Amino acid sequence: MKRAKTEFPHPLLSKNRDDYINCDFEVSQKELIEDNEKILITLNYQLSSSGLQELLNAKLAKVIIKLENNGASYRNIYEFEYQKNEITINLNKDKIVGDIEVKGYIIANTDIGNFSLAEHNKEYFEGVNFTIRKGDILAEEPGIVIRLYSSELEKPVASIFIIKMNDETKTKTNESIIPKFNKDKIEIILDKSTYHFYSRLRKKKVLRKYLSGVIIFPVLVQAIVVMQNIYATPADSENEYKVESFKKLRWFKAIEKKLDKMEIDISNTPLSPVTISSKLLGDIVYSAVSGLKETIDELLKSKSITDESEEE
Amino acid sequence: MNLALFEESAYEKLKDNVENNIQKYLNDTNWLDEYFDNQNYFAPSSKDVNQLEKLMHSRTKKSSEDKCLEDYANVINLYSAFKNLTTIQASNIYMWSYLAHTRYKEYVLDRWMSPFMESANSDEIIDEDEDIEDESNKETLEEKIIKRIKTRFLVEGRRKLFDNALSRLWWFGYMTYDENTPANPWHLTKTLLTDQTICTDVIVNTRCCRNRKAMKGVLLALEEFIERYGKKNVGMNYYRACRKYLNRYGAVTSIDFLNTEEIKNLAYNYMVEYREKNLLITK
Repeated sequence: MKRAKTEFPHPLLSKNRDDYINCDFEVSQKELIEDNEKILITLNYQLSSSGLQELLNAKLAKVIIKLENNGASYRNIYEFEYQKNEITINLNKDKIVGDIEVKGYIIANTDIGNFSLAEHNKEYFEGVNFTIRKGDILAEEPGIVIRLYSSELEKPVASIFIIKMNDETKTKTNESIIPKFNKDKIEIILDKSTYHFYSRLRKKKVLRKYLSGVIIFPVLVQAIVVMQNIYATPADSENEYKVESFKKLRWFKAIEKKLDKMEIDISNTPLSPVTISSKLLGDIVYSAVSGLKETIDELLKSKSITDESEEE
Repeated sequence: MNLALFEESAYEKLKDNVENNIQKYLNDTNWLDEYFDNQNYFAPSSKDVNQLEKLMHSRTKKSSEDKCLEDYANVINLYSAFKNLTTIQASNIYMWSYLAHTRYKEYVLDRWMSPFMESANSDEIIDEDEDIEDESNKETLEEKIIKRIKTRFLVEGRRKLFDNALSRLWWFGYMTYDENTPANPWHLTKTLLTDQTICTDVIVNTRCCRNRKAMKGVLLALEEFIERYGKKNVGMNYYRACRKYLNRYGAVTSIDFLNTEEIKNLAYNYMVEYREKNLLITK
């Protein structure tokens, strides 16, 4: 969870502060392996501060990782072993939902009196000694967010859509279909009549592909266009915040990852949004039309049998 | 007993239409089949849990202490029955919301909605959803009801799973069950539910208590404090001052790094010192 700026009662090594001179502390992700049951995250840290390194060597301080997953109310810390700057964290998938926030700290392993290092900024701290308590944060780094995609990948792309009925008491519009792209799932809002037809037809399994073709497919085409516009927006534009917000949405990340697996670079592809969307939905155009033909053939067949029996 | 959960579209529809369905919510009958026009609005879950037919509840007017006793019994009942849920499964808002609307609707009505069913005078309603420190609450009766429905039947309260009428019972159990004390594994649950204000202060307003180990340390401190000075002396003030102290402490210290005993000592010693200072001032 992001924290508001905090004033510390002692020098803190952090990118946003100048309490330390010419020092740095950073944690980076080396590897991420996912399977059906586990997630293995390998992290390593880099530290350039001789004073803090001495505290680590003397076991007066420790490097830890705080891992938080709000989706499943999971929060835990993991400690690097002394003399090792790499750690592999092994998580059970049944403990994690969604993004994992990972942040590294150097903390005091015990109370430390007379804490003063040569690399402390003399302008602020010359001649000052600090008392450090066990657990006090001596260094922090910005942290990273690890996005887990497998749960989205295992589901069909259609799972990033939610189909709703238009509440006429709240909106004045009488459009039969309105897509909305500003939430984690793409909302497809249907007018009352269309929604009722959709709900009834959806009960017939053989017609679901056809319904996906009619309702989800055109919205997905527009979603691809939205994504291409996002990628085309220059990084330093006024809309940078809006662009970054879109990129964090679950539907955006899910489509991005699927296309990555299909080796389609959406920002630079000769394929049209229509073709890309059809591929994402498993060649929906063919399966929708063939599904409809199958249904009609069955209907005609049962009608011709009835006609024959009536003639007799 | 197999669980079930709302379809996502059904949940969204309910969430968007609470104000139109107030009377349906306050009614004892099952209205969902008709509301969804016999369309599929829920799906069975493959998750099998122990049978839990009923939760303890009654429609009689209850004191705060009665509510705590009722919550304590229901935490034990529900968490024991649903203990084999993983934390991911227990984070499923569609499941808890479905159960609150159907199988355990009577309990939700009695525990959370009875003030609205009995009294039309909003001044008489003691709203446990309000933060005691917030004095500017000027909601109408209808707004209070809508907020209560969204918080307790759905999972739309500020505190999400710790607010929904059923999920809160499971998560209270999960955070406080003490497997190291087999003779009385619910002793910390009892401490948490000393009163509703302490419960909110510990679960919601103490940042370090999002970690089970830290929660345990804080509850052990409270337990010892209550044992020494009596329940009445805990009140709002001692723990409230302590949680402010822990939040400040946790801003510059990794409380998660400390062990349970250290966290307990931190909280307990602070409350004792705060009490002694207060006694000196009042002399």
